[in-house]
Amino acid sequence: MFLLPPTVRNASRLRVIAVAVASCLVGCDASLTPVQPDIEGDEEVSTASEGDLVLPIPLDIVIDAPRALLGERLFHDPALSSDGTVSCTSCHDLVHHGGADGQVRSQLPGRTAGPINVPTVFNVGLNFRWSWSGHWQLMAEQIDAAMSAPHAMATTVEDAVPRLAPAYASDFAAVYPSGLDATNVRDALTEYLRSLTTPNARFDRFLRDDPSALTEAERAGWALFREIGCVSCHQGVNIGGNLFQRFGVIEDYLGQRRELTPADLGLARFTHQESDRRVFRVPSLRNVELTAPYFHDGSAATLEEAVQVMARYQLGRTLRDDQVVLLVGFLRTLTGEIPPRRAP
Amino acid sequence: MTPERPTSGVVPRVPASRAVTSPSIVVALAIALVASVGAWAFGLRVDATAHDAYSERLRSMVTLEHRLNEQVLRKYAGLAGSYDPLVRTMRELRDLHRQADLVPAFIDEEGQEEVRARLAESRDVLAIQDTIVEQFKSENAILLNSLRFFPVAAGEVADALSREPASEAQVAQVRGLLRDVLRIAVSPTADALAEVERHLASIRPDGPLAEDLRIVLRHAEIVASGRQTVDHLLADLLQQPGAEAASALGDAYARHLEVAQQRAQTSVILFLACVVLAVAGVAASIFARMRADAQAIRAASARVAEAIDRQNRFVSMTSHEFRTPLSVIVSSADLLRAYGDKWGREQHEKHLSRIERAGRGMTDLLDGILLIGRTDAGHRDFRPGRVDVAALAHEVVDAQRARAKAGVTVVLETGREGEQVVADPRLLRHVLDNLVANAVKYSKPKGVVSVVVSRADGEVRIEVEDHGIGIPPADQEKLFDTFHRATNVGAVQGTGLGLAIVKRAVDLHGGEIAVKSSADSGTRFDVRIPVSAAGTITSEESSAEDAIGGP
Repeated sequence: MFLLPPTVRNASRLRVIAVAVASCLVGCDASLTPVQPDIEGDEEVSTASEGDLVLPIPLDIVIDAPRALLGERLFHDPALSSDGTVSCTSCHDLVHHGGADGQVRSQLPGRTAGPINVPTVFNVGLNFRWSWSGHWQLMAEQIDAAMSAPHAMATTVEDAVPRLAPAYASDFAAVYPSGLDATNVRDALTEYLRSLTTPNARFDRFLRDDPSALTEAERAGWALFREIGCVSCHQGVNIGGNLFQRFGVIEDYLGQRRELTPADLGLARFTHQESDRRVFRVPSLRNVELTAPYFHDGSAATLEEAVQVMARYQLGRTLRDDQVVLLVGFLRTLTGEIPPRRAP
Repeated sequence: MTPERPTSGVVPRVPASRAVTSPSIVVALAIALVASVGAWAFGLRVDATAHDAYSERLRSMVTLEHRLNEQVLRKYAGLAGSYDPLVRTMRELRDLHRQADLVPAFIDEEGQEEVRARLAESRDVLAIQDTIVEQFKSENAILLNSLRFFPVAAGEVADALSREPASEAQVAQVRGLLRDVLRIAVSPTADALAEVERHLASIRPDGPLAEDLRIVLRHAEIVASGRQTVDHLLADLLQQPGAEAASALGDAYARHLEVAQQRAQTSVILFLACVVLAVAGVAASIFARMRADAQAIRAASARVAEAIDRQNRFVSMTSHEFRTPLSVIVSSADLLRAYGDKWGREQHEKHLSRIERAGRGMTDLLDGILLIGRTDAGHRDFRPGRVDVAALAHEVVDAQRARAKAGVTVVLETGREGEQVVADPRLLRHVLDNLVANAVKYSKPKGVVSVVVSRADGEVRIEVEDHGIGIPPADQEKLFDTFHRATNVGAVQGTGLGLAIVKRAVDLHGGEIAVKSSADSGTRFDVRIPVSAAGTITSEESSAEDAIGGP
């Protein structure tokens, strides 16, 4: 560079800068004028077949195993709770109740009853927001909410860190440069929760071009599911879990039957907006046969009951018994492979 | 020029020249300069990877903003497909806004502030968009469901009612409602909406199909209000300046990127200038050091040559100066032995005084050599006593007059005799003796030598001036060197010790000697010796104090 005469050096430098500025300006020009959206790599947008109303759970979700393994240990560890008596699995039973607890509302020993029916932790990574109300935009926020709930862990992640230190400090240090701290505890739990997908439900195999995966009746149930409008809200990869909806579109379900609780406010409990009253995150229907009772208040004991409530109060339909049987039959095909426990 | 020791054969250590900075220091400074300027320039560089990543994020934001509107429009049009892509777009936009918080470090503080301000604006728009999109999804899902179901349900109810007795009015009303709701579905004009409102108000959900009728009316309500709500939401969303906000963000970034690039370019030029400067500095210091070394070596070898030369001169001078009186002594002694008994008293006396003069001359010469040798060896051979300088001057000048060659006149001016000062009489005699002898020796025939001895405040001043052959300028430098004789002395005899002795004698007193001379027109020595007064005594005492005998 030293050897170039100054004029040549300057000229070449200026050219380089000119190109850099020009490329930047081109980039900005492109952003000033309306451009055709780049739809490469997003096939769902460009195809419009009925098939992608609902999609199978991907088989290739990328999980960082070391972090997820730490999260799994934490998830099963009572040391997270204030008094060391309950773990996440106390309410989220991964083996018997599809990631929920099978009760109307959680009731842990020595604690007050929870305000809502425990939602599942399966496929939570596929949701757009978290909790029944859908208030939490980050899984870490949902983790904090569960940790601080007096009927659940009754503590905070920050307070739990010292309790975790003896058993976890060195293992966290091996995975995270900053070692064991609240942020990394949330991250490990989040990574584990993301790993809790239930792929290969019979319905997913059916969606992957295996017609024999469903019986004729189940296929009829799927058709009915679309026809009567369940699919208006229960769609996408999680068959729900990607939009808000008011509970009681056609007529009031909650107020008709009992005294309202704060939990019945739904999203309005956090936003205090009248328009958010009784607005909830549409729950996923995956593994729904395992997670009775149903709704945020656990008011539907069986799938049949839940289907009828939904048809009447959300869709304005009165279903015949055979239609209920078909729909329930279809819903039972949504049970996927329960993720195995990785570490002892 | 510092005096050298005549007897020392050792080459003096070459003193490191103080004017030249050591190259190693210059190299260290150069490295420090280049490193610090380099680090500064490196800090200002436009990191291409960071820039690519950041600008890609900003471009993606704009693309996703457009995609968001397109996806909402598709759902509005009732096209099949899930809300997942819409959810994904919103999530990506949120992630991009979060990541864009890390503005690349090469953007200056002002730029960071502006980019963050634009980002905050874009984020505000995104929050509004998020709210609208969520409401749109909910309302649109219900609307589309009712739009699908209502015509079927209304048709079925109308058919069923038409089979019931006395329901013609209801049938007509339901068919009218169906027609007007379908008009809204196509185009929600105020006209059609008013019609539907009218139907909804007039139809009574009673009779045998009351329940079915109630549900049909509810769906009609949902379509009527939902259509408007969804239209408003869509219009509101499309009006949100999402893409504009993202573009403004991109523009702000591009503007400050240009600033950063210019700054980086300047810093690189400055860095290169520093590198050139550093290299030049190092090279210059190395050359300077080499030159200084060469000079020092030349000077040292010159001094060695000079020392050798001086020793040679010493040997030739001593052999000559001692041989002459020695041969006088030997020959006079031989003559005395051979003819002594035949000679008369006068002849005896003549040869004895020749021997005496020769011996005394050698003594003087040895005395001078010893004085120089001791002084150069570091002995402060200074023995102060009380001296009457005027008397001493007279004594010396009288002796010189007696020996002066024909025609040379010595004029002496002194102050009053009898004033005594504290000085080394032996050394003062050397000073006067040598200066006056030189002046006489190098005077032209019939020349005049002027000697002025005066006293001023705390000093004795001795001025000796002749109009003789003078000293060439080249020789004046080495005037006080031992055994150095000027190039123009010709056949005049001399030892090259006289002025060296004078110089040392003056130095031992802490005095100064100056010389002014030009070739062929004479020389003037000006000696100033600081003294302190010692009172007044007689001239006898003064002579008795004199440590050295006659001239």
